[in-house]
Amino acid sequence: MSKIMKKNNLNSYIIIGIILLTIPIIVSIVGSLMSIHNPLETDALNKLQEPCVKYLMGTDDVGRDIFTRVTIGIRVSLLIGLSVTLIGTALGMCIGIISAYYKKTEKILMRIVDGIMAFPTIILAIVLAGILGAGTKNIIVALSISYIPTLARVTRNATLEVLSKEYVESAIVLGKSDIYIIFNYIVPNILSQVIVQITYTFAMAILHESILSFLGVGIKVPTPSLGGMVNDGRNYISIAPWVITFPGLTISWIVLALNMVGDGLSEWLNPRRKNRG
Amino acid sequence: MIRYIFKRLLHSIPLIIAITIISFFIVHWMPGDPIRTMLGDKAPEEQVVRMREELNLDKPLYEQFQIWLKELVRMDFGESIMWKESVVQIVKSRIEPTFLLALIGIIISVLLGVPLGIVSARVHGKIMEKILSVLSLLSISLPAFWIAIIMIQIFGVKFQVFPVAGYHTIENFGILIALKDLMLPGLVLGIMHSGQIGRMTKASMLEIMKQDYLKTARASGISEHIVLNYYALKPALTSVVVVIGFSFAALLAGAVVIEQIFNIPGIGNLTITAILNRDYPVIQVVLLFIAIIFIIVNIITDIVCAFINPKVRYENE
Amino acid sequence: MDKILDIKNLTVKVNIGKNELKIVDNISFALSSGKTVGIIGESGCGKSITALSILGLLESNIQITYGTIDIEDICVSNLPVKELRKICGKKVGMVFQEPMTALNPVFTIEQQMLAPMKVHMKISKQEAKNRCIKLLKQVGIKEPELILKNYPHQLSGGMRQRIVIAMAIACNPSLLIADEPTTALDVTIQLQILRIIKKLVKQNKMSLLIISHDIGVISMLAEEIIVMYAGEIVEQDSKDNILKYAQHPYSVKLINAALELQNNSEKLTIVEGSVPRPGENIVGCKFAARCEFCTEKCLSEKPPTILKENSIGKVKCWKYVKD
Repeated sequence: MSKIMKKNNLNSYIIIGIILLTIPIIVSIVGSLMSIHNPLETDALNKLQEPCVKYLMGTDDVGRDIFTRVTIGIRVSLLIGLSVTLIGTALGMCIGIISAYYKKTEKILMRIVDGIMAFPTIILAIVLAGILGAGTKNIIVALSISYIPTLARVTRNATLEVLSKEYVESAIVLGKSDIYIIFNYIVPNILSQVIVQITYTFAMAILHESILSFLGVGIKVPTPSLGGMVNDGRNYISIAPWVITFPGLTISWIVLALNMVGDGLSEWLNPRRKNRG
Repeated sequence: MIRYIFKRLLHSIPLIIAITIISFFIVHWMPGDPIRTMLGDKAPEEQVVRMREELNLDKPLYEQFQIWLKELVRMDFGESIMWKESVVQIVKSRIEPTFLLALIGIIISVLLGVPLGIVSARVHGKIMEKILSVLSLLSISLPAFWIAIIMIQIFGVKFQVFPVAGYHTIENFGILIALKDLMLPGLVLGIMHSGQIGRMTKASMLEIMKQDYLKTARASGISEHIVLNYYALKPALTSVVVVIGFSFAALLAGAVVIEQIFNIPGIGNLTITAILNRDYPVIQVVLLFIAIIFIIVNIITDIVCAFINPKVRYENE
Repeated sequence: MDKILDIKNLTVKVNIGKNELKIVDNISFALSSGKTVGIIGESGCGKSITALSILGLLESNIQITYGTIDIEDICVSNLPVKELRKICGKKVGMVFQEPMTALNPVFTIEQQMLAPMKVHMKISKQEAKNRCIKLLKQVGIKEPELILKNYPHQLSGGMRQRIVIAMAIACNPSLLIADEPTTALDVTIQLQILRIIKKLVKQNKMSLLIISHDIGVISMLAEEIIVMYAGEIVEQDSKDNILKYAQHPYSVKLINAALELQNNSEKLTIVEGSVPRPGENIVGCKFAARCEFCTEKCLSEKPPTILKENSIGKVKCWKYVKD
């Protein structure tokens, strides 16, 4: 059956998601290469300009070019999302595998994980970011800590499932070293489940970063951030709707694309088992 | 059943201990000098020292933890730095709007999400499924704060159907006015969470549709309509309850942002204000409060599940 | 003699991605009223699919692409679901392989047993309940009143299978289909369940279609045996003829292997190789690759199904084709 499964075409969600994702990335790169505006430069004469050829997405309340700020915002969001995902996954996977593999560590590690999980992710992130203070580095730390428990849980459950398989049991009985078993049996077999979780984490990190920046505990002003721009434009929505429209659309676009990839991957990598004939 | 409830309560004790420790350390193990950041660089040194003494921050960590435990036992957490009022009083006064908001949110998201999930599972493999799945994807992907601002503009400013911001307490203005204030934020909160509920409901419905016992029912001649709406739905209910319980926590978190935008004086609004002003005693208590609510919701979810599905009860007794 | 079940040229295909695979390939057989027929074959040979297609219980990605199925002269293979359900349970009862999952975990046994009676029989609730108790007694349950109040998880696998059987015969069907009814049970329980089925079939004058990979089960219940291989019927004949004078090389090997196992023989014959995968392109006989009598013709041309010399049985093998 495995042959047939592989022939099963790459899920359309993955392809659409990746295409959707490349568009803001290209816009961000091209935009910053050919930028004619300074993202921080205020211009009292050109406040709240409508989108036009000179200002592709218009200007905000102090006359800054929104398009330039969006391109930088995309870069900042992706950078934070990627860092958080990498750090969170690395630590989460370690905790998950260790707590599943070394039963003695389980009680302490999982208690801590459960304890942290009792705080809703975004609230924990807001509190941590608020205490650490605004800034890219602090957001990365705050979000990573908030995501580790979920990633640890997913990894742990996947690891426990793999550990119960006969081929791993036999490897343990044969006296293979722990490191060997972890890297040759456990990691490759939990990867498909973890990858899906990683994609969702990436999407969530970008969404949460925008929330933090919107609330004012995220990226330090005046560095452009998509969430912060929505907050800036709030008061001008009736007269200048473009100020919040473009940053908001960009966040939605990126998060939607990543979630689509996640959905596609989860269907492609972990297909529901067909019934026997 | 009573034995199950008792056991479930007993199980949550270590978790409660863990969260009391965590909510203490989150605030106390952070780098930097909180008093300095709170008062600003220009504040005179003696004011900083006095403040530090007031908040017991000059004592070693273990003594501070003892003080925290004593406070916990007495349910008295001192005064807020910002408001100079009892922290417990402040938190208490903020519960009402948040609770109501979460309630409206959960009702709307369940009313939208559960049918969405059931219908999506029914049309599995058809074009309709794709359309519905994109809808629920949108609901989990769009930033709620952005949607909230747009909704305020449309329904609050343009059509003036709902008040745009603020909250009138039940005590002073009656429940109807309070509910009217929370209608639009509740709607946004509900719509933004319906996608998650829909997705989880769909997944559990699809799982149940594969079960052998539906085959047995069909083979004995039960009509498809009854198989789907009775034989499949009741076991699915267990998972739906879990989904709702799970979403409640997410919803409560979502309320933090929504309250901020609609300027509703609830727990979420309090959290943000306390954080922005570094009101540590308040932050600590709010964190603890939210985590305890989360645990209580989990316990209730488990008990309701055990009530619906006798198997869960049996396995745990 | 009326035909209670008549399957003609049944072909079933499964869609996996864009591929369409034949899992049941042009099979025909009939079941006269009061008769018992057993289908035997290795797992994956299409036995269960055949059974499920009779009641229209195939998964959505599996379809009948050719052929007809008649139950008491009603063609059910292209009947709308609504009409088909009127036959399910009333004319045909079915017992499944996995008693642990065949009953709904959130309903009591009583609720689950009453439902089909409510659909098919015009009787009062009290009558229906009395009938439940009677049925449970028939399948050898000692305290039926007590059991009715239970949920499935409170009962053992053997008990649950008895209840599934009781449900299957609740509305006096004229045909009982049992798909591996004992495979998931303990060996000690298996015999009890088989005896119950045998007794009930005789008492209620039902026809029985029993499906199993176990020749012991089949020979205990069936008067006629159908041997299936890779979605095809390779041989069909009376029980005695199959057991003693099997003709198709596959049947011979299958029965020898079972007999050796029974006699604790030291040397076990192994049928070399494995069943070809569905979708594998085989021009000739599907068993050719594992057959010791394989000739050129077997590899290049599909064998015809021919009537045996005893003029009751049929076999699908070039070996018995006379030029």
